[in-house]
Amino acid sequence: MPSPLALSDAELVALGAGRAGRATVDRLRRAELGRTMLLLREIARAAPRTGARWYAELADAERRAPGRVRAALAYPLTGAWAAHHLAALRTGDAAAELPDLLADRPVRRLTAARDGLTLDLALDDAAPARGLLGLPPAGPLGDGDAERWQKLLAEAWPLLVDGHRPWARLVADVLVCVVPVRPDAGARGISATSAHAFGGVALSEPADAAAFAAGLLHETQHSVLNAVLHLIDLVEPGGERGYSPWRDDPRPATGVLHGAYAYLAVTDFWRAGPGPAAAFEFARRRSAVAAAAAGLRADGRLTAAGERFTAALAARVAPWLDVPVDPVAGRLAAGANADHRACWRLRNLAVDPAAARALAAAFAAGDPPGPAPVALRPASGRALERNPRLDAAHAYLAGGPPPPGPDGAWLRGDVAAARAGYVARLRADPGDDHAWAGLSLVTPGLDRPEAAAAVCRAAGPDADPPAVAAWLTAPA
Amino acid sequence: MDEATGDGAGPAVWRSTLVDVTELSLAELAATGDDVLAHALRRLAADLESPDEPIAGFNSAF
Repeated sequence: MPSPLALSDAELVALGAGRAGRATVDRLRRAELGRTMLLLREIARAAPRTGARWYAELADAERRAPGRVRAALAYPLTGAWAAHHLAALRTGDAAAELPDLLADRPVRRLTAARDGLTLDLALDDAAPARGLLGLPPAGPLGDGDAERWQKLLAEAWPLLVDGHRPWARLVADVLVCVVPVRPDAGARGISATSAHAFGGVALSEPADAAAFAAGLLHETQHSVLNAVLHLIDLVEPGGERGYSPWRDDPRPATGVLHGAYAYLAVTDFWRAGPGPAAAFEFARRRSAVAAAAAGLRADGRLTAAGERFTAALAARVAPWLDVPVDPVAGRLAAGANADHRACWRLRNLAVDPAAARALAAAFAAGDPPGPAPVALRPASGRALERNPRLDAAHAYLAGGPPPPGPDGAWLRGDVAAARAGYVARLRADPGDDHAWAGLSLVTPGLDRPEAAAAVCRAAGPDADPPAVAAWLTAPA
Repeated sequence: MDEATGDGAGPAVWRSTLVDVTELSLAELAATGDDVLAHALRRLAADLESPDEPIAGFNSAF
């Protein structure tokens, strides 16, 4: 009789804080292996002829070479394939051919050793299932490509081991393979983790060693949390999607928890980084992680276990909020977080049309503003958009000149010039959401820019955008 | 489903509905009845049907 799986409370709390030890990771890995075995069993049952014969051959092979078969089943892409295939079987869309999970195929390795800690990963550019991690895989790597990956890892691994040894140990304990994926035009580096591929990471070729280190940390955390969520519910089912500081589309509570957990590690990574750019990343991520954890705990959407886990996460990040940072980096980090929220609202929240018309009439009549109820716009899928103001902040912190116009004025801290610039843009085009978000950064109280934009749209050319903003933010 | 059990001073263990099948061989697992695995299979099915598989997008560079 198989025994029930469990986590001790101490393990759950350590996991929440990002401090899982090797024994806990081993427990998660074992649970994931068992989960893949169950998936294979269900594949055999769902396809009694082909699936059962295929499973029986695998079972025969296990009798002869148990270690080899278990290693193949534990490979992250096996779990991803099994979940995908079983789901397809249940909807009648499964491919007829079943793979040879034990096929010998050459796989490139990415390895690095530092101070007694070794990272040894498959750089899998060939597995048929490598497209199941959520991003389009790159084509087979040439030797030059593989050398670049190896060189980057050789530089990235010391950054982790020297500065963040416990995190480095977690990465080494969890990760098994990296699947190179095509770069995303909208992002400077992109990565993903499938819930069904514990220890597998899809990653575009990193821009530099620090990006590689941060990406590995980030995806390791996703893998760990996926495994925990397979064992124990941390979030109650259902509920509306909402704001997440890390994505431009609305996310479920589980997605927000994933973001907070992944960025917990990334925030710690940047904490010790040199220079204003690292300070900027640290400052904006720590606030976002703390706010997301607080929001999850306040929303009542966490289970009792989820509350334990998230409280530990929140306790880990809390002391970082008091760490002094470079003042310019800190100001821009606060602005970047406010900017993201404003852009998210403008992108995803639609003001009720009747309310927008009533607000426009109230504005024209000089009456005080009424409520502006909003609803989520129809989902448009995963979104990662470039924000020119954020790009400019990165360039500015790297020592570049501020760009001309209001974004540059905001970077310099010239609020009056920034405001004048955004107002000019909005007078020219009241539908300029980038300018509305910018205006919200330099207008105290304009925390619902979507309402101001909706009033201007409803009122037509007679509504002066700065006057509408002032009207909406005036004390009652 | 998942529950904490302890001695009253606080939760000690968070039990999963998944079971550890890694001690079984694949042949033994195939022969294990659905009744023994019922809770685990239900959880597996629910995971597969979940529309919310988190996929991370990550700007990893400055």
